[in-house]
Amino acid sequence: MISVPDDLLERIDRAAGERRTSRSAFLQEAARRELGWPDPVAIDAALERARAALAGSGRFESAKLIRADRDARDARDRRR
Amino acid sequence: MPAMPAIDVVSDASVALKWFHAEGEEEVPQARALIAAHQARTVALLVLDLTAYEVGNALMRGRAKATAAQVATVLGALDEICPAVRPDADELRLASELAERHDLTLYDAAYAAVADSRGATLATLDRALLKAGLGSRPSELSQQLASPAAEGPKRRRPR
Repeated sequence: MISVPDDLLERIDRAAGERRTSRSAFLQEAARRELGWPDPVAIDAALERARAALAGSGRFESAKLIRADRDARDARDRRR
Repeated sequence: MPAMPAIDVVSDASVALKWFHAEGEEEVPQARALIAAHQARTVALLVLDLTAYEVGNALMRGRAKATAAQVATVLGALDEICPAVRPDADELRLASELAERHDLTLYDAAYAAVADSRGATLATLDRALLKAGLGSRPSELSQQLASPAAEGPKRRRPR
């Protein structure tokens, strides 16, 4: 038995309706995503696809790219 | 079954992108060791909803000049590997406090806040987060995972 506040239940039902799924299926999916133990074979396949997609994309350091992006976003926010 | 209790690790975009790209990158084996541990269920990996935008934007607008199709493939893979969580109101409140205290952007601080509130360790190679002492490098984490008796990442705590 779980207890859910009425307002949250309303949001769950609305989201489930938008996705054309049941409340129960929606909650199961939410729990699966929150707890998240994906299939290791599916992870390997996903990694292989993404690495193949980026093959030949050249040399770069992700931490520098991400930092530059964060700094640029911050600079834009400060100018607003 | 996991060999040891799972620990939660929140990965930021600077580490997550190394799961897919290696050329010119530092700490690739260590970043990828987190995924292996996730597959073995000794680490429960999480990213933020923000991570997909950061990874995608860095790929499209950074040096990689990735195409839409490449970015879509990478973001699809990211979605399959681990859950992306959206910070709740309490976590956003903590993020704003951390941003103020450490002079970080709210985006940076959100990673630290989610990690803190969930009893997780933040895996990052971002210099601002590391300088603030709010995250650990993948190399530090992999050493700690290899020697669980040592001072290590936070164990998953009851929610």
